[in-house]
Amino acid sequence: MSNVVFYIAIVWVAVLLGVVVVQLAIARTIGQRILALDLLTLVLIGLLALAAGEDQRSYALDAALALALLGFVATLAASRYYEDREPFS
Amino acid sequence: MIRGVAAAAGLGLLYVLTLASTDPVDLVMGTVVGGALLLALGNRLRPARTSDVGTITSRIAWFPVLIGAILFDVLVGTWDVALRVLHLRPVDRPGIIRVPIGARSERGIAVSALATTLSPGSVFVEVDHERGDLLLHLIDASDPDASRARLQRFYDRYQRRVFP
Amino acid sequence: MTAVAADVLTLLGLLLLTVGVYGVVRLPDAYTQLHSASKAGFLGVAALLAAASVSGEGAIIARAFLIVALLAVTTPVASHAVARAAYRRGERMRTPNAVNETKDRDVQPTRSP
Repeated sequence: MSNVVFYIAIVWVAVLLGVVVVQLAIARTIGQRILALDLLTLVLIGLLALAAGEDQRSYALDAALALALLGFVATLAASRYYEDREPFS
Repeated sequence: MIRGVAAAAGLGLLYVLTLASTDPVDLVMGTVVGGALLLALGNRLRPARTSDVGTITSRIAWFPVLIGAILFDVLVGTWDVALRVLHLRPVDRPGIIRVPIGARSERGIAVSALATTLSPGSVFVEVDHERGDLLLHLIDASDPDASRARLQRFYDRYQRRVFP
Repeated sequence: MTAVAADVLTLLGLLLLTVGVYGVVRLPDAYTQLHSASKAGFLGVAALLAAASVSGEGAIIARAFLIVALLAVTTPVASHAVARAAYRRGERMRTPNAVNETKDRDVQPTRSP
């Protein structure tokens, strides 16, 4: 991918990351907060995908894979805890 | 037996994809790890048997059709939700509706839940076993009966032949 | 050619991701935000991963495929978990005339038998 597009994309995704962090902070309910956390991991995976596409090495995608798995488990545990105060019943 | 071998092969494929190498040693290693995991977990990985309609070959033949239908739904739904988010269509009547379970088995409910939640515009919320309903949240619930008919049509046309 | 394809996919991914994030900012409650967040977000990330693997080597393609397959299975489960938690804890829908067929049966004439 061309350099211009890459720099625009990196800056843009970083801005999105900031917006999601703000959203995480000002969420009105706990459900919205868990959801913003889930979206945060998605945006981070997007950022790592951009980095992997730029330098054509796959180690960034290793991190993305681990992040996807961890984010999934974190969302599940958080919402189960919110639901009935026990993450794994 | 066939099911076990297929599951072991699937786990081995996952191992190889994670390593991203087609070295013979890794292939063997993946299959061994997959088989060992299956033996260790025993029956826990296998879903309960349900009464299947159709033979295994017809179910496999219809599986790509189901996947294609779900992908089409995802694209259409993404377009719709994107327009709604960007103020081009109204978001004034979202809501939770009831959809009858109908002829779905336990696994059918799971597949329905996955398919409806993956396509934007509908999120699976809860199963109401007492009244035999699925609760779905739709971004456009202005006409619940039409939505129910649409979901029932999707089930009859694509899903029933693969996951009843 | 592949560079152009990667650019187009990257921009498409950015657009979808932006729509997803903007939806979370704009929509009022957790239920409606879920539609925007996990779905538009998922397709956006899938497009970015496709852009990374267009001209890539085997290792990138394998991992990108794995991540997309994983997200396709896990995002619905995660959205369902959040939606069910919000529903069971009784979070309200904040749109003025939201449809709710689970409560107030007498008030909802459109409910199916």
